[in-house]
Amino acid sequence: MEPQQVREVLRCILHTIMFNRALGLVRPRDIDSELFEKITYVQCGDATYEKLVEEKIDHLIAWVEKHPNKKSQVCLSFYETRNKHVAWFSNKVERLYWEQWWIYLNVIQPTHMRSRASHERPIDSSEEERSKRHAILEAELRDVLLQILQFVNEKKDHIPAVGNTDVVSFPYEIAIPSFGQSYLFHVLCRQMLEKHLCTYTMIRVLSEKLLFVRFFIWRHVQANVADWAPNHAQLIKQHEKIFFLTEVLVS
Amino acid sequence: MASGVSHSEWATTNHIVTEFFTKSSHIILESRIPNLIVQRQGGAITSPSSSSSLSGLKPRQKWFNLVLSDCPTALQVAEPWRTNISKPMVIDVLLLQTRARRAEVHGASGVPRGTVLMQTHSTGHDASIAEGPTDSASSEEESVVKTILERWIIWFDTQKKSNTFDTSDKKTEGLNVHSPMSGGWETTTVRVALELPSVYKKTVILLRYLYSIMRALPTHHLFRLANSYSESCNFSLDFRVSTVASPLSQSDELAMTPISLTPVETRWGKICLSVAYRHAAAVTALEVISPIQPRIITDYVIRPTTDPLRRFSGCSPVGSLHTGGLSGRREVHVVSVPSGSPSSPPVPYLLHRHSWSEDKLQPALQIPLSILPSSCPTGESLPGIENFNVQHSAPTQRPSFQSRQLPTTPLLHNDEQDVGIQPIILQDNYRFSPSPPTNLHHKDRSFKGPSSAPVRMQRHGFWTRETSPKPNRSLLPPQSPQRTSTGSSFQGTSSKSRFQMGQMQDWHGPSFGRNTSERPSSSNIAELKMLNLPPNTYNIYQFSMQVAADKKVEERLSFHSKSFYPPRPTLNSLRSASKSSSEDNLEEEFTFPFAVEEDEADEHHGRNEITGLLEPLYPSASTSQSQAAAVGALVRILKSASPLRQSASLSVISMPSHRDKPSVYHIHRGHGRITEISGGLGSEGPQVGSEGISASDMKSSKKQITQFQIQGKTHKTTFDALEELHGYQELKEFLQRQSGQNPVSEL
Repeated sequence: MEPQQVREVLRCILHTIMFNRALGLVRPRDIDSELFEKITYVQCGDATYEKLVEEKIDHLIAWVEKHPNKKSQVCLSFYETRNKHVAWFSNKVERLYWEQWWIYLNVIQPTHMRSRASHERPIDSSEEERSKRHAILEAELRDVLLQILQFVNEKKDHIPAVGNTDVVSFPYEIAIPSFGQSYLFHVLCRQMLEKHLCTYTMIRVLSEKLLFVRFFIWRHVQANVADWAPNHAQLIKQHEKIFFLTEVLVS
Repeated sequence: MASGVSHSEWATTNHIVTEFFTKSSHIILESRIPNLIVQRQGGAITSPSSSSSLSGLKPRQKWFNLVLSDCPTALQVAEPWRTNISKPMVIDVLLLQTRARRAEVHGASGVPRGTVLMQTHSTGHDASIAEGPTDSASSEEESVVKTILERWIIWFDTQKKSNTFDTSDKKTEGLNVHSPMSGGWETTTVRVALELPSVYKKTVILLRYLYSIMRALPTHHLFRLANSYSESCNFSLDFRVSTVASPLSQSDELAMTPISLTPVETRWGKICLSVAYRHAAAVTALEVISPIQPRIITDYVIRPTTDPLRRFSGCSPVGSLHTGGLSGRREVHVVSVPSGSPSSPPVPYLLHRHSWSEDKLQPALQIPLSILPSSCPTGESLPGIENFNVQHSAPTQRPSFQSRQLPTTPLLHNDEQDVGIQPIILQDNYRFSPSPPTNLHHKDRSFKGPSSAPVRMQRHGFWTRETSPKPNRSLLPPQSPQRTSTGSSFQGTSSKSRFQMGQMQDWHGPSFGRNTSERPSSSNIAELKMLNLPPNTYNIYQFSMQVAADKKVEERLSFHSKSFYPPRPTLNSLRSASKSSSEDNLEEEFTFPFAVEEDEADEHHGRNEITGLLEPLYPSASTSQSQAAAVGALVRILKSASPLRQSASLSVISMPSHRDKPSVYHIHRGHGRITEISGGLGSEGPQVGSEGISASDMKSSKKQITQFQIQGKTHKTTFDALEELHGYQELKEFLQRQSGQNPVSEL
């Protein structure tokens, strides 16, 4: 899809998902898609969610612009928060994701814009191609929406009980690919390894931290599979080394 | 307690189911039937998108945490199921395609348009099915085409169908497998913990799904269109609620796709929902929306200045053509009218004005003439024309013609009535555009003939006779008074004869070069195609003629509608206009009037001057001089031509004795005496009135001859020279006889 279609597609999908998962008192709002003539999606009416959706879409579009022709994905996760035992570093609020919606996007940059100055024929053909792609995208979006609804229809038992009276009954998050975040964690691991390699406690802390980091990395890898792929192997190796060292030290 | 709990649960469950029926019908009708949500008890209009707070909601609106707008129709529709949830609710969404819309909603009471086929009874017995008002409409309904778009079935299944996979004792989760088209559904689910909150939650999710799927199905697009273009829609959406699903036709079954929603199990049954919807393509095909409503412009005023004929005014060629053909046209237009009708507009490409300087004629020549002489049968081909098409004159041939003020000529027209071939008409401003040579081939070949002539004339300046392998006299114009036209002197006898002679020839177009090579002297005889020209028509060749002709000639050159005016013959005819010519020559094979032939020279005495003048013209023409050069040469000839011996007085001396004998009368110029010299005068001796012929007379005759010769030297023509020759010959014979008789005396 093209960048200008990303926003509308994500809106349709994210709002459709949320409407089916927002079990609070909802006054539904029908939104006729501006880009797709025959698609109407429903918003739950939660302003917070709508704002968050717009922000995430903006971030994604910015990321897509920095990484042209790269696959991206958006993850809408519903989770439960569970409090874990309090440890040194935590305030742990464990998140137990009971449902994740992965939205894989393949954003292509329009190449016909370059040939606009040349002659008209390529433009006409590219416009036809664009219209064709648009129609295909609309059909695919409709299929995606039906698939979402089918999943919503089929899977009901895993949904936890409604604990509040908010519109959006369950906590959620929207994850988008972010390179900076992954780099940060990598750097953090190194710094920790370098600084806190001395004492056992520190090792324990380090191991716990590494565990957390590993889990965090794992989460981010899961969330950003395409983005982490080239770095994943290296990170895993480093973590294996670290854990081996920590185990050795602990033992 | 347990029974109390169960009773309460049952009541709650029943309540949930009842509200589920209401809510689902509300969702369905609100999403499919336009203008249902507008009406409201009390007049207030609510919409789902209103931003009103949720606090002022009615309790019923809060069911299933889904706030919807008020829809009394839905409430009324679902009313029977409030008391009896055992019966299914079948909602058919119908597409009504009628010519005359009957989009009535009866009054303010909110009686639905749809048909309620169920009448609930207080006893809860099976309701009888009754036809509603819409179905009972006679003529109006009969014209309505109903198409089922969707069929929604909501029911509370209190029966549990067992199967081999029934694990009702196990508390396991499983999938509900439905086979929608089998009339029911088969489940492999296991009994799960049936808690009211869970049930309620699931029903909430189910209704969320229902609300979403209503927007995702193809019929929703029709609903949007019906909502947006309610006035211009030629279709309407209607619904029908019943307790029994009417059997669908085979075509409908094939066209519809079933979806069964996962039922919500309760302890006392399952809340089930299924839908069968029409495919998207079928729904799209039903879209017959005309967003632009046609309306009659009642205040349309036709401008008085609007004149359909005026469109031709801006284009004079067209207008001139359009208004009746070529007769009387003053402007010259080169037009090829392929259609053949006088009033048909010319070929557009011919109508463009071009400001060429030298090439004006050339394109004109290329324009095929879709005109035939009236006598020419259609389909006849003129080889000369084809040659003409190939050869088209160079632009340099025409500069002198461009400035000529030619008489106005009508447009070329392929009127086959009597106009005949319309040669290309030229004027100062040519109103024609070059046409591709192929046009010639598209046109009737019979039209090609005349077109060739002008070109060749331009090129070579004069006509030459071409020997046609297949002389086609049928292409010749008829020997009609049209050809022997009146009017101008051009129509004069001599000229007419010339032209008419040319008429009889097959029109091959002049191939000057070729012919002149064959006949250096007399080969410059062209087979002319006499063209019936409408009045005020010129052909190209006349331009050249007019250049050389005097004003009088030009006037005579003005076309008559019934005269043929080959260029070169025209000039000749002009020059020989004063000469006598017989109309009998019309039937003869035309010979170029200027051709120097002995017989012609003897026959046409008046040609002496012209012949002499044009003698040098032939070589020049034969050498493919430009017409301008030919004209210049002609002018020179005319200037250098010897004047006519008009000053000489002619006296014919008759010799009675020798009247029967051939005598040679010498027109003695200058002296005003005619000396008769006769060879047969020796015996009898001439008895000349004035002088007798004797030996002495011979001397005197010699002297006279000598004088004659002396006098004739200054203004000698060929004729004179021939006369002198004859005189010498007779004198010689006379002297010989004399010497034979008196050989001593002479010496």
